[in-house]
Amino acid sequence: MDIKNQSTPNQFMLNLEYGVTLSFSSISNSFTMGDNHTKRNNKGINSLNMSLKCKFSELTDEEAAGAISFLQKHYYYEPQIYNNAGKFTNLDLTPFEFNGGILSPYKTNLKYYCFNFTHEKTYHNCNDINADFVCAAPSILDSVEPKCDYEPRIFHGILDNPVIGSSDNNQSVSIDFNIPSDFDGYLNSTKTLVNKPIFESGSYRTMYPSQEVNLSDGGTYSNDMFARFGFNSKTILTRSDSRNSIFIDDPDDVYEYPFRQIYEDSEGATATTKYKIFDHSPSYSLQIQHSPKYRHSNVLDFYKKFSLYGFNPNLNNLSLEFSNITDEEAKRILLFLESHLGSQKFGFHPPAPYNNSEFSTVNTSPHRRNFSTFICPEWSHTLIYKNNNTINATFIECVRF
Amino acid sequence: MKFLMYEDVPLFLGPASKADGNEGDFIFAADASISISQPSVPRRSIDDNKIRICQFNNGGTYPFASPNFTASSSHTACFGPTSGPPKSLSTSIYKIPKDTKITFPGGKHLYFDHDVFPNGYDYLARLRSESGGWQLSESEAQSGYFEPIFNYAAGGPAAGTLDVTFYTNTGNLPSFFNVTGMSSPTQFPPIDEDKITGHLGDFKFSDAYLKSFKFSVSPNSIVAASASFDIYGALVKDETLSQNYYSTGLYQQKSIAHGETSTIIGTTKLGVDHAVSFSYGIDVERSARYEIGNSIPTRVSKRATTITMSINGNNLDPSLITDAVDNRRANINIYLRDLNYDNFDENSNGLLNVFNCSGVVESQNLSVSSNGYLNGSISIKQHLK
Repeated sequence: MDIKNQSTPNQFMLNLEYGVTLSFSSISNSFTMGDNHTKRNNKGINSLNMSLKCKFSELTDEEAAGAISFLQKHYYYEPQIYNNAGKFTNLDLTPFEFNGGILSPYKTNLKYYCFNFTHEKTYHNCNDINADFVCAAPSILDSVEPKCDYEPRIFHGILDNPVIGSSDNNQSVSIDFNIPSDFDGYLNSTKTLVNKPIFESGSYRTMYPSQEVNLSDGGTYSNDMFARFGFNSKTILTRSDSRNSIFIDDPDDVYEYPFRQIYEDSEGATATTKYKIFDHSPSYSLQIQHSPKYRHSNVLDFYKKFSLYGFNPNLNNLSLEFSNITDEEAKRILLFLESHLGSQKFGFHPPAPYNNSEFSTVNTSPHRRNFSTFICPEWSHTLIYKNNNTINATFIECVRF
Repeated sequence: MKFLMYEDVPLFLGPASKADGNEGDFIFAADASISISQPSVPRRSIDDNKIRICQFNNGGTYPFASPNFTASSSHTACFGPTSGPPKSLSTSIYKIPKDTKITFPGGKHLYFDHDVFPNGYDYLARLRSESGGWQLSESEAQSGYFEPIFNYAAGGPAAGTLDVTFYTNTGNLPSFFNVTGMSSPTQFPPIDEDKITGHLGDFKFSDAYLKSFKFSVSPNSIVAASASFDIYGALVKDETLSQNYYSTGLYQQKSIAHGETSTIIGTTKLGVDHAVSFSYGIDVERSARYEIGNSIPTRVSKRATTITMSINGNNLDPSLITDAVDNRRANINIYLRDLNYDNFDENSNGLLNVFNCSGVVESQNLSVSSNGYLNGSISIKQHLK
């Protein structure tokens, strides 16, 4: 169907349908020591990839012709043109945008290649197109996301010690917003989001603003807050537009607990985590496959000796599904996983009984205590229907340190 | 309490492309039913009906310390595994109503002291004890069971059907009952995929697409037709819709197709000399495309269109069913007429419509029973488009 080869449109005009699946995968170098402690590094700045597998169904002949022509036209081979420097100027395969973007919550200006597309005429004037799109050159440098705890250089400002008593009703509170002078002069404002929690440092108490109020460095503001358990300590807010994502549009409206999470260490003391905690519960059913590492000798075919191998030999690879979740929760999960770039560790509460007390004297392995650490090298997102998303993710367990 | 009578529930159908449905008609329906459904799936996550308490404070300090519970005492609980870090309540829960009971081992119970609507950031809740003189051990606090109200997600778009049995009452079959009809004579390609709208009583529906149209003719009977529509989208109640329908033509005298005057031509070649009854149906396969962000389809395509006819008579030709399909070809015309009164003032139209089926014989049947005659029946199918 080499039909049109038109210069316009320069965007892919078909809209995606429900059921589209976006897949993310990272390319990294892995270094695993004898105790199964694993370190991963991304291979390059383009090492986190996104691809789409989608179907456009019940297209008219005209719609199908337009779409196929658009996808084909990038491959028309024309006489080579080279400039004075001897460089060919018309051999590059140029990526393209979707008209209006692909779908929420993804950025609308991402560009894609399409290397594989199938056209099926299912009936008279009825056509299906299956196409795989690959996001063009996403850069992990675009991921700008606060890690654990207070990061004043680019991200956070301080709400100074708002004091509210415990109440089941809204209360008026005066709040000061300050950015340390060493770090101001860059994105000096933020805003309170209606009915989104602001966490108290040093605990899990929250206050929920009832109004959206813009805050600037050095200003004092009042707001009606809901704080069921009271609030009496400083807290932080992320400065507007300081965060950025590779794929996700407008990350400011979702966030995680902003501080290092609080737990009890093996000495019985209150401590804080080194990693962010992935605080979402997977759906039923969860299959946990155990494949402990071992060694065996086979000096002879019929004589084998099996031996233990390394510490922490039974680390898990979990295939988790978060099904039928809302758009907001999907955005939180996608942003969390993306910000760890497929190679950085995070904490996760495995379901019972895969957790042990920090004080357990029976299980002395450093992993799978009250929480475990994982990396997530690949995940996928399927939009089932409006506000109905399913995310599949592969979590590879690591030793915590 | 008010139940509406049959005559107070009009059915109105009209092409959606015409402004305000002015081109539509009230339908002289014997019965009509409309149904809309939408699949839903529960949002469940692992152990979302299990409470684990890691601390009875704001989650800021350890080690675990259980309060000495007294009657009607309230305590802030922080959720999560033993020794933390805390874990928020699952978002698969829509609501934990106040007074929801949490059952711990050893017959110990606590109750939620306020409504909780988990939003993914709920690490704390206030729990109440109704009895005193007991504590929770660290391991007991990890095993509380409760029954929350779970969230649901829409599994797909709302869709339904409109089924109507009615009387064909004009010389022209309206386009919304004509599977192969064209709402616009200039349309190209000549495939009419237009949707229709309408209301049953005060319940308005839109984005309806005709799936099938059928009628049957028998001696001394009025001809009843039936139609089935696929409906995409929700029902909307508008109490002004049926206020003025009494002044419409619905209650004027009708000209109705009748078996006494309607005829069928072309059965003799099939061995049926005297047809005593027959039926005609036309069905179309439809398939919908839903684009992201929409809850109604962007396009509902037409696929295979099939006409089926069944003729009952005094005989049949057994030689028709052979491997040679050409021997089984049939060409039938149906002339639907009303009672054809002489006086046109009596709203008589004579010939109402002609239906054709040019297909192949699919099956034959002979039957006889006591107090009856030998009957032959024959079924014909035409793949139209």
